[in-house]
Amino acid sequence: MADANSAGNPGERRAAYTLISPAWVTFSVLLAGPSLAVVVLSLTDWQLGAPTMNFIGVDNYAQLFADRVFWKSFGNTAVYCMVVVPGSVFLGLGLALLIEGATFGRAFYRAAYFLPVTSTLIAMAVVWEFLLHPSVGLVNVVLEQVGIRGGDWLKNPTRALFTLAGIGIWQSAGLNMVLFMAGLKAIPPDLYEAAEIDGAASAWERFRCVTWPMLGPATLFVTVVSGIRSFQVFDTVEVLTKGGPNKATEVLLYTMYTEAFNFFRTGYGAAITVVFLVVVLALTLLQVKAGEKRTHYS
Amino acid sequence: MAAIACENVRKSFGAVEVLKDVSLDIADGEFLTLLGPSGCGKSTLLRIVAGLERNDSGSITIGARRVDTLPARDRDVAMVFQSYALYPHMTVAENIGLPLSMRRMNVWQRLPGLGALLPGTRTARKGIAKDVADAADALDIGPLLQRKPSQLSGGQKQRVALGRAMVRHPAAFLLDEPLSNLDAKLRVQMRSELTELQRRLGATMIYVTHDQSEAMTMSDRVAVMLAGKLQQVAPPRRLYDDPETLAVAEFVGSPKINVLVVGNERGGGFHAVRPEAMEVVAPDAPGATTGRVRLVEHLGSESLVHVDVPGLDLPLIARLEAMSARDPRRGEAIGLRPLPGRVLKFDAAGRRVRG
Repeated sequence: MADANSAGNPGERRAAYTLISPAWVTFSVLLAGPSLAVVVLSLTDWQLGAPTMNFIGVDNYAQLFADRVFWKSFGNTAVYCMVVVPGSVFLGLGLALLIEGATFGRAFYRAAYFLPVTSTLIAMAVVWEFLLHPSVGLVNVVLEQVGIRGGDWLKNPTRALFTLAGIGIWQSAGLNMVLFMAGLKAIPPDLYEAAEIDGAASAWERFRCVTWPMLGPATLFVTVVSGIRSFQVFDTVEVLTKGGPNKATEVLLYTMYTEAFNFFRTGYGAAITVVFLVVVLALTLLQVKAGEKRTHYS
Repeated sequence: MAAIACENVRKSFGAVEVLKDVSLDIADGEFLTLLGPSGCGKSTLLRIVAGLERNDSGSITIGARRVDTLPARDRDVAMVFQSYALYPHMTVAENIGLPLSMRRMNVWQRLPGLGALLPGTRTARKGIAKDVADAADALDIGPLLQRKPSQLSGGQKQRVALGRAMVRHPAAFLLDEPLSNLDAKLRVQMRSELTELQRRLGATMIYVTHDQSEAMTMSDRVAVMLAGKLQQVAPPRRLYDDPETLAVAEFVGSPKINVLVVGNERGGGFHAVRPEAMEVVAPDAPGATTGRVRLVEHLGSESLVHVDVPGLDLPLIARLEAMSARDPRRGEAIGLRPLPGRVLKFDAAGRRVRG
């Protein structure tokens, strides 16, 4: 592009624009267009199917930020993220290290832990519903065998969000594991040998000297992707709790969904979506910035 | 510094026997090169001495200690890798200082932040910083101490790797093809620097390479290894002039030694003649092998004459001083004759026959 412009040859310039046009068109129609439409919609009072639409400025946002339910929902989503991200990142890392260190059955364990990623979360949520049933669910039946009363996992307001977070960890640890395994494969074996000769006595020392710093880029990527994915939590909430009990599991996407598609307040829903997009964008920028500075060592 | 002894070392990977009963003594302060083509087992032997691989049988002694069962970190050896194996997230100073901090500080003292609060940490860090600075000065990389490895050139990385090896004054240095990632010019320069460093430190060094010019120029002795067996251990000059086996004669020297199959009443054998021990004579001269000149390579100070001889697969090669005489022309019929006393004789099994 820059070359074609600076060359100033009209033929070359036309060719350049022609060649990038497919990318531009798809980008505009599929990504930029819808995002822009959401931003515009968030400034109107449009309701799904309504014949009229009024431009109301930032009223939606004013209402949103004054709404107790929105803040509850935002807070729940944040708590969910803060449990799921470290949980799934460290579980994924642990699994990757264990499987890489294993002498047999690697392919089996890799596939087993990756299964939750490939399965449909809606369907899996139904399975979890059975497992977590207060009286006949497998979880409580097992707990009873060792003398613990499991109680109700999904209807207890202090516990429901964490139950969902547990399912979230279960679901995304496999993907993180695979990403970490790719990162582990990329570490030159020479470094471990150098560390060994330099006196790294224990597995912990080798991890601290070589594995952990060399996994920097992978860890950053995994953390951000997990953050974005867990910020998008919706399926389990929709199937298992519907945001209840008493808004205890109300999360951002679920609030957006109910406002926009149950109450048809499309403009208001769009405003929530914009908040959501801003957070995701911030996470992505964080990755880019931090990635440039700290983890690639160049 | 210490002497190293390998006795009857064997090693197999699965069904492949990589080292077949290797015995080798390296004197204290000696520069010994393990020379051989890739896959001959030279790196495996080095890694066994380092403790990165275990020998199946035999023994390794460093100084007065038998070290076979000791882990690498307790053998008091330092290694320089072909890839340098620098820690990319650490500065040059941290890279060089790591072997010291691993040994002089405990787990808690090494923790970032918290470690500084513990007794002894400050003194230990000061001592390490001083030793690192000394090593860096010896290698002329003092100004680079705060850089990361990615900001260094190949030659500078090489020096950092050497610094990390010498900073703790190990009993021996093990170098695994340390120069092969450098460009040709730098490689030649590092060759002399490395020998000089070795002499200055009085260090015992085992140097692994497939490059015979490195082996010949740097070593006190060269151990030629072919297919898992030590063929000959000798000073470079002896290795070239007085090879024990045909394999060594063929492996050492470029261009390759001329080999003629000979047969007589007591059985077959080989005569081998170095290219510079061949003289060009008239085709009908007594004792001459006759052939046609296939190619003449002019190398400035000398010329290489390749001669196709009927019945031989490879051309014979003669090395002529450029000033000595007129160079033969391509296609010309000439005779080649070994200089008196310069024929190396080998029996059918490739063993040297003297006299």
